[in-house]
Order: sequence, then structure tokens, then C-alpha cells
Amino acid sequence: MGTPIQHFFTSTDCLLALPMIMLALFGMGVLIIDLMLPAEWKRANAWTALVGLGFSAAAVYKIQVADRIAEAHGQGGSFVGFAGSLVLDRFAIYFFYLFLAGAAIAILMSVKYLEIEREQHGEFYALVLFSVVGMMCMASGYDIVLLFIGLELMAISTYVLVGFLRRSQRSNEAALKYLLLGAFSSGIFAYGLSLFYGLSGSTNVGQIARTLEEHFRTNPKDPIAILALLTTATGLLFKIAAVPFHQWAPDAYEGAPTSVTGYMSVAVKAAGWAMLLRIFLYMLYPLRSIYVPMIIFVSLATLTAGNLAALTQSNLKRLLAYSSIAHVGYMLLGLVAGNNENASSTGIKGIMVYLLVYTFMNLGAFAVITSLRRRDIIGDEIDDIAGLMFKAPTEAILMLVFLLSLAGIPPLAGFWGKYYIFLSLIESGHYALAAVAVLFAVLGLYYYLRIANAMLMRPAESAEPVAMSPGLRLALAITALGTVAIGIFPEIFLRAAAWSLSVPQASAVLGLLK
Amino acid sequence: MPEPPQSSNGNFFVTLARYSQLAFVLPAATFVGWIIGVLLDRWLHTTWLYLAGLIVGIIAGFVELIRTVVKNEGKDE
Repeated sequence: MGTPIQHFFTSTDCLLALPMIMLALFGMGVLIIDLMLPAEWKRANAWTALVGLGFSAAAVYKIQVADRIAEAHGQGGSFVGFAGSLVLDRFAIYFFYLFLAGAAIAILMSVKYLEIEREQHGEFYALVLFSVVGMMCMASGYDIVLLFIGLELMAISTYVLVGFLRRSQRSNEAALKYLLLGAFSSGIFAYGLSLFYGLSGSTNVGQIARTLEEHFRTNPKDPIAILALLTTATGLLFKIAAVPFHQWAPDAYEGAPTSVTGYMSVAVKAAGWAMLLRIFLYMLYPLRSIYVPMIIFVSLATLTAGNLAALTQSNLKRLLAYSSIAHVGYMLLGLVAGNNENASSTGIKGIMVYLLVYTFMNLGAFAVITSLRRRDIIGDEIDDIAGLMFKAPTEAILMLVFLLSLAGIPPLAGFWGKYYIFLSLIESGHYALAAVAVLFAVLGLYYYLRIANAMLMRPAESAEPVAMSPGLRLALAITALGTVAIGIFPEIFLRAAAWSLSVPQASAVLGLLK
Repeated sequence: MPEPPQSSNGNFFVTLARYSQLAFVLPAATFVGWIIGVLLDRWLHTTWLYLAGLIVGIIAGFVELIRTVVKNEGKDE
């Protein structure tokens, strides 16, 4: 209405959206180039996608540099774009790097695997890039509409990736289950968001938080606000596969192509966490007295169900699916501790560290499982990994490192994730929760050792060598290096996690989070 | 694709008891090792035996856990 276009779209907006624009352009580029490539050259699409991820990372770095300059001038380190609907703070930048690393490793794992499955198509890589765009919207969105669009962009890309093995019945079934349950949860989530919009009259996260705080002071037991909280939380907990909204995870993880399973268990989950933290800590912070008991219940249920179900699995992907549910339980405990008013934000820092180390160690474990897939062997049962030590000692030793790290044995990366969560629980006085979590950690050790036992002590069932490729080797090298380096030199990474939470919130947000 | 449900109800609790025992093996061994170390420290007026006891306890816990894994896995075959 007579407003100049500059009011809607400035050069700052352009800079802030650059990482996403890069990925979207390269994603479409992959689709076009794919049409021109002969069948035996299809793997070149992976390189295009990796270059796109590299450009996107460079754009994120550019924003990080701008943040450093702004800090030198004494300004807060968060940029607001698109009239307040996009906030690129350090929290978002940290997650951007995490998504890009997860996607790059997953692409490296996929090249050979897709060839063995005879499904080497450019769409695969384009969908991975598009899903990262969605994740970035989820991590940096400061408007519930943008958050929701990001969520759907990521989810729809992932549904297709899960069902990418068209000729495999398991893959199709998994995709359909994931699609149906995911659609329900998105619907419930959208319902919750619409109630918050109704309560506050705004779609901006900060504005909703301000209105909720006032609303809650005058009307502390408003049933509408509680209903909105419950439905929103349901949608968020579904995305990170917390009990009782976890049933989709084992089926989807088992049926999906192994590299996609790895990708889903780290990057997609991290995106869910980014959105969950953004909503719980920024938007719903005024309601924390209501949601903390709920999170305690959910985290205990998640730990119990995830760990007990993992004990009896004979399929590697299913076992790791349940173990990834259990890991979500530990991270939720960090949210419980981080919400205690007397405690520092050790709990939230613990979640950030946990997500980082989990990316490396879990993708590494899935990279080893990917190498077990041969022409006529599906290779995801515990029996298939038996005797790996005699066939491929390097892979077996790396797998052992990843498993011990997942179990949380020092001096590997996984230890620091658990250490910070437990520390935050003790700092905030949740001694009973810390004790329960330690017991479950030992139980976790048992089922990881089961895999190690099969690998090291049992004879091989088939003499066929594992399917290695340069991409997979690189993925294994990166993940192993990450797992060991974070374990031995945790300082750098802990500082990065602390940095991601060091935004002076008041500049863009309310001063709610201490 | 979904696994057949683990039917027998009586069995479930037996399994649960067996696994919950597993969860306690490592912490219990660690604790017992530490306690023995502390008591020896008091008796012999030393200051480092508690650490040795702690380490012995942790190692004993791990050994027991690994032995259970190997035993259970062997039974399944």
C-alpha cells in the first residue's frame, strides 16, 4: 500500500538468506544437470551437491564474520531480517554448520550405496539439499509461519528420501508410515501454533512470548494456553522421536536407505531440536512451570522405552533407532536442568554439545553399516556384522570406537555429551534423575557391547568383503576424527557450544533466557 | 517389517529383572571397590588406596558386563 519494496527486502535480508539461497540454487542445478548426465556419470551429482554445501557453508561463515565485526563495535551478535521473521543469531549459525556437516557426510556415504541399490538419481542429492534449506528455516525462523514452512519443507523431502528405494517394499512401507504419522503430528503442531496466534494476535515468536507472559500473570491456569502448549509440544516431541511419540522411528529407520537413516538420526533430529529449543526457550518460556514436569515425564519414558527396546533387537538399524530414542531421553534431561531458574544454562549447553558429538559418532556407526550392504546381502542384521574384525579390521576398530563413544566411555566424544547433561542435573539439584540416567547409560553399554561382541568374537557368516568406496572412506575418516578429537580436545568444541548460546538475547529477543 | 510382539507375559518380567540387574552391575562394582579402598585407607593410614579400589571396581564391573554379554550372546546362537 504505497510502501516501498525496500521495507520488505533489504540487502541484510539477502545476506541472511544467502546460505539457503545457495542450497536451493544448487539443488535445482543438480536436477537440471542430472537430465544431461549419462547413466554412468550420475555420481557426479554428489559432487555438485557437495559444492553447494560448501558455498552455503561459506555464506554462513560470511555471516559469522559480520557477527564478529558487529561484536567489535559493541553490538549484539544477532541479525534480524525479513521484518523480524528471520533471526540469525549464534544459536542458528551453530546449527547451520551442524546441518551442513551432517548432510555432507550423508552424501559421501550415499554414492556407492545408491549404486549398489541401482537407484543413483540426481533427485536424491537435490532432496538432501532442499531438506537442509528447511532445517535452516527451522533453526533461524523467528515467526511461527516460517518455522512451520521450514518444518514441512524438511519433512516432505525426508519422506521421499525414506522411500527412495522404489523397488524395496520395506522402504516404501517405511515412507508411507512416516508420511501418515508425520502428517498427523504436523497437523497437531499447526493447531497448537494457531491457538498461540489466537491468544497473542501475532505470529512473531518474541511477541507471542511477551503476550503470554502478561496473559499468564493475570490468568495462570488458562485452559486454552495449556491446550496450545500440549499440542505444540506433541508436534515437537514427535519430530525428535520422544516417547510416547516415537513409534514411527524404528520402522522408518529400518526401511530407509542406510545413509538416509544416518542422516535422519542426526541432521533431521538436530533440526527438530533447534526448533524445540527455539520454541520452548524463547516462545514458551513464560509457561516453563507447566512444561518442565511434562518434560521430566517424557524424558524418563523415553529413556526407559528406548533402552529396554534396544536390548532385544537383532537388526542393527532398529537397534540404533531405539538407541537414538534413548539419546533423545538424555538430551531432554538437559532441557529439564536448563529450565531450573537457579541453574546456569549448563543443561542447554549440554544439549548443544550432545547434538554435535552425536552427529559424528552416529553417522560413523551408520557409515560402517552402509559398507555391509552388498549386491545380494541387505547387511543390517547383527549376524551380518559378525566377524568384521577378521574381514575388515579397520572398519571393525572404527565401529568399536563409535559404539564406545555412543555408550559414553571416556575419552571419546560421547562421554562429554553425557557428562554435561549429568553435571547440569546435579547442579540444578535433580539427583534422582541423574542417578536414573546413569543406570540407563550402563544398560546402553550392554547393547552396544552386544554388537562389539558379534564383531570381535564371532566368526564371519559370509566371506564376502565389505563394500568400500573413496566417499565412504572419507566419511569414516571425518566421523572417526570428529569422535576422537572432540573426546580428547573437548575445550574447543565446548567453547563453540557456549558461544552459540552467548547471544545477548535482548537485542533481538526478550531478555528472558538468562 | 514390524517385529512380532514379544508375547509371553511372565517371561517379560523375568527379562526385565535380568536386564535391570545388568544396569546395577557396573555402578555397584564401582561403589564396592571404592568402599573397600576407603576402609583400607583408614586401616592402613594411607591416602591413595581409595583410588586403586575405585579403578579395580570399575574394571571388575566392566569385566562382569562383558562376560554377561558374551554368555548371553552365546546362548542365543
